[in-house]
Amino acid sequence: MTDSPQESTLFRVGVVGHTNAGKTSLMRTIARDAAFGAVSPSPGTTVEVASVKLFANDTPRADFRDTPGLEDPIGLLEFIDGLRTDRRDDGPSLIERFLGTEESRNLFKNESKALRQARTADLVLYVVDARDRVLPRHSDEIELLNRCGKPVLPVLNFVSDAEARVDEWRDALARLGLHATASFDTVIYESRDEQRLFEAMRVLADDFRDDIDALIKNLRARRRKSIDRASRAIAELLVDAAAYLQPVAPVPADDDALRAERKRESEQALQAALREHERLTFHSILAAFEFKTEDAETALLECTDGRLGIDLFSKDAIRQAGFGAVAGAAGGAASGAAIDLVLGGMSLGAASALGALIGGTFGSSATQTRRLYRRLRGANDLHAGDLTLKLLMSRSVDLARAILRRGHADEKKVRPEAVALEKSVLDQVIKALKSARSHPSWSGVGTSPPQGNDRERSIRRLAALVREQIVPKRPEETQNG
Amino acid sequence: MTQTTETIEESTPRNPRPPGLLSYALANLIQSSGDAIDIKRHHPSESTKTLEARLDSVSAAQESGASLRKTIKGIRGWETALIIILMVVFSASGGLAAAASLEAGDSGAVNIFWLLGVVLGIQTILLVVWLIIAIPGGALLRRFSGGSLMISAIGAIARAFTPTGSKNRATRRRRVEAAAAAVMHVDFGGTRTRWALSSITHLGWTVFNLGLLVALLVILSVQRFDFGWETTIGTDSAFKEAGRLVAIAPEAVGFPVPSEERFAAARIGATTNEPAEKDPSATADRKDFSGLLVGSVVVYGLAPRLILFTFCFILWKRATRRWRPDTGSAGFAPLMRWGARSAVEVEVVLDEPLTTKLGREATGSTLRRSSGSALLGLELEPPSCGWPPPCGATIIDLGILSSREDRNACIRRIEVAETAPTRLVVVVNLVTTPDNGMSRIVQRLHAASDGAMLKMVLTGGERFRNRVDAGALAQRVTDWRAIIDGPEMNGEAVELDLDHLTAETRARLAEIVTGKGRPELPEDQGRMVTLDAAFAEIAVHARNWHGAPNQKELLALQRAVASCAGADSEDRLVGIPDLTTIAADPMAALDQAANRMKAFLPTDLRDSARWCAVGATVGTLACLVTAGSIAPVVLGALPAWLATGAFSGGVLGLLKTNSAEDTEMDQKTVASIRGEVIAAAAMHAILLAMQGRGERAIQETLEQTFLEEPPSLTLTNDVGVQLGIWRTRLSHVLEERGGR
Repeated sequence: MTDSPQESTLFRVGVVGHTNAGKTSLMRTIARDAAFGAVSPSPGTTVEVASVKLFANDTPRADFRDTPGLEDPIGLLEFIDGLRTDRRDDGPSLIERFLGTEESRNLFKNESKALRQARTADLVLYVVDARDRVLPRHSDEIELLNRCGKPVLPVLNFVSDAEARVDEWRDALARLGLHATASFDTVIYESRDEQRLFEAMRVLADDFRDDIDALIKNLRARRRKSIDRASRAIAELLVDAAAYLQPVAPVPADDDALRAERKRESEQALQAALREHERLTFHSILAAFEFKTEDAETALLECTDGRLGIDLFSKDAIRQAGFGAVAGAAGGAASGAAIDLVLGGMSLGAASALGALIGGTFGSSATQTRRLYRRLRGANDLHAGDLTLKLLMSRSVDLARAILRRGHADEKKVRPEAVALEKSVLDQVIKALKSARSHPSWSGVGTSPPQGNDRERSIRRLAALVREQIVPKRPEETQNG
Repeated sequence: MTQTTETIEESTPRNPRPPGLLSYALANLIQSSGDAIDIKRHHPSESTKTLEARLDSVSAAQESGASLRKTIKGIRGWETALIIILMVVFSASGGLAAAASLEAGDSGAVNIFWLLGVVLGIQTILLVVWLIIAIPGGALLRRFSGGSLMISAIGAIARAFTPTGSKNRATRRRRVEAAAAAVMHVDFGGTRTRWALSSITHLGWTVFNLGLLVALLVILSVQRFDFGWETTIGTDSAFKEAGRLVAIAPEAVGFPVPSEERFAAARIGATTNEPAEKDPSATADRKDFSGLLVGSVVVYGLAPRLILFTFCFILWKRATRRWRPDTGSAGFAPLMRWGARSAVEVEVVLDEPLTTKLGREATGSTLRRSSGSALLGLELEPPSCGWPPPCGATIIDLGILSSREDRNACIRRIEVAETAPTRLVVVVNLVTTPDNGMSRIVQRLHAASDGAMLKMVLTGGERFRNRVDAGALAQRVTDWRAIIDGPEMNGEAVELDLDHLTAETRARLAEIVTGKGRPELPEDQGRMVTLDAAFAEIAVHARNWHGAPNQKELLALQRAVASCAGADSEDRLVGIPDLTTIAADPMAALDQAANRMKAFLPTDLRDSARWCAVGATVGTLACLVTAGSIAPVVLGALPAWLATGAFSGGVLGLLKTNSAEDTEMDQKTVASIRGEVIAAAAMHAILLAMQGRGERAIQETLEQTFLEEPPSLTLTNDVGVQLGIWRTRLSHVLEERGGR
């Protein structure tokens, strides 16, 4: 490919390494694109060079190039050594000579693609699987890359794995003259590691300092925005669910069987509506962290044996979220519904009830009047019980936490850790949802999300609470306010 | 589910303003419709810069988006028509107000203060009210944006656009509601409420004043009125002063107004009795008073309303222009997939043109005598059984090859030897990728050994399995097999875990290395006997339970099963943490053990929640058995671990109880749990008996033995019958597999 003049000045990074070391996984995580390239345990999955341009402020700042794996570094180094005709031949000239040979186009075609990119890059990221033993072939790979004459930054992948041999690798790389290394697990994502990777790149590619700085800044901003969006989506879910009312059709006073039947039907309708709303919110959470929505159903959420596969209204869900104490007597709780107490003054208050009777024109009084009118006619409404709201909070926060630490290269389905939200936090949530309880018009369940400043304020207040649960403040942050 | 299909960018009609409105409406529709919306893949053109415009472009490309655009256009048209009608009503009201108020009293003169009060008083009071409500924050007006009025308005629009009996009414109504909610929110919601309502109010009064003005001018042109003023309880001086003050502004802008003297003279009842028609000054008075009236309407009515309308309208439009949809809401998620400008740009870089693949390296060799078996490892970490692995036969040990020097030395050694090996056994680790480098060295080794019979031992399956799922493990085995599967080598690959070498593994390794058939081992005869003993123990234990077993009974059963298989803490189940790990962190160890056994299940069984519970139970109990001497510590950690909710299922819940009475369960639950406990014990026994075989072999055996969901077992006899079924199936499976 011929680069345009603009592209030729772009910071170019070659991503190379042994086959299956996680190069494409690294690209996926950096690009936030789980669909980038192909990843499989088989060798030679990546056969072409693929480029990912990273933007900051709508300006391309870096061009990362994924390359096929170095499959036979031992054989290749032996071959290249055989090309030496003069003892003064340096590394780059030997590599150039190799790239001109017939073997580079067939026997070592994958390796030649990787080395060609390494030759033209401004920086080479050498990806290693930190779980592997350090083998002679690795030193041969480094030798080959050193001969390309470009700065090499080893990136230790899969460092969060229990089998990772990080110290062994650092020691071995230092012996080979590579003292600057970066750790970056493409599966278990750590934003700090990603930032450190870029900082390490900045050290080795000082000419592109401004570009890398812009990318680091962009990374931080994206993360902050993602967390804010996920928090808001969860807060909106909670407000929508708390405000939602499911009507129970009126029945004659003496027909208990019909009343029970009507109540059961309404419970099912309420459950279906909340399930669907929870599902949509899960999609929003995934989208907030730049996971594709269509990936969500198939690759992320559809886990029959995982936590997310458990129905919101099942006893298992209640038990798993840590509400074991109530689970034993959760026959009613599992239905997730409770009778709306509009007439008891418990959710409205006497003043509001009076206001509703007068039929004021502002706010939700008209809705309250309708509720009151329905109760007077003998009809009921159901709303989501406190336990259901706590479950919704726990499950969504759980998902957000899991996604926050999920690299785009992770191909396993989401299996969040068990939720252990503090009781005081859940109580705070229920308290914050009190106003939503008395405003059915705030609910966006099964309908377009309503607007309004009171609702908006409520959502914002709740979102702040949710945010603290997704990303708990560290002690030093708390001390510094 | 929301589906995606691809569309190409094509020219579409202009999207409604402000940017983002169309996508907001579609997001509303998605949120209210859930799965029903089909979102097609669409890439906005590069020239579309803002996120809102890109989202609109994606929305417009959707079928629903196109119909929403029409609906929005319709609602906007309806909105405009409504405002026009309102203005006509206001204008007519102005005219009527003028006609009604210009009426002479008993004195034959129109009371100027009364007239001004009627035409300007009410609107002035309302203007003050507006100033109070709208200017200091407009909190009351803002409530409109989320209140019942807005909802009623949306409902009214939806009803108007979807009359009863219309085709696909429910779908259509949802669409109209989504569009109406979007339009109403964008036009009247949030901070825009204050300026929208203010604009409409001030426009209304402007039109009212215009109607009033026109009507006044027409009436004053065609009729003659005398003007005066009077009071019953007020003082004349106060009214004169009021008249003077009112006249200042109209006079300042050029309207004729009566002088102070003339104004004083206009006091009804204080003037001469001379007929007004004959008094020349009376005509001037009428013109001055008419000037005062018209001027007051213009200066105090029309002008401020017009100015305020312009001001509010500008702020309204500015607020509308600045509106941005909340793209984080649930409905936007499928649109953001295509609409959000990616922070990345992906392309495939074409490299040098590919040429034809070079054939395999030429492998020449001379004919030699061949004898014996040679064994070597490739990039292998020495297995825990040491190197070379004990296989009960004499072999040529070629060592473990890692570096270029190792490889070349080994090939040289084979080439220069007087006899070539009959069998070449290459041990590789499944963690290693079978790439071209591996393929080439195997080819070279095979060629160097004059095409000896090639056998490959695939070890490290458990380690690799810890990294990947069962599918990836199977793929890796297949990839390794493909390396030696060609006609030139025609090798055979066998999965044997040298890290967990057992008598079984040793026998199999000996068979591979020597080629003399598998040596008979005492374990072969003993395996089924051991299993029978374990199954008998299970039946005996089950007979002594009352209802579901408690913690002690469960542990006693598992210890008995482990004991039958001769397993102890040194020979624990594959994948169960060792004693040190368990002692260091019992909770993590329990988690690891349960997960490991759950993951060990064949794919078919993993789809069942109950089998997953059984798998987790096997792991947990095996961990507890392994814990042995430190069991109290682990038992102490159990409740906390179970409370994390990492694993659910009644069977594990039993571990929390010391006696069966602690748990109240109905008969159905008891039978179900007993079934799971028996299945877990049987699975534990089979796993212990099959240790050392390849993971796939074990998984396939389990899959063919446990064909259905764990049974519900009530009677002791049922337990015996069920164990018998599994035992028979297992015999058949092992027989089919040739004891492997």
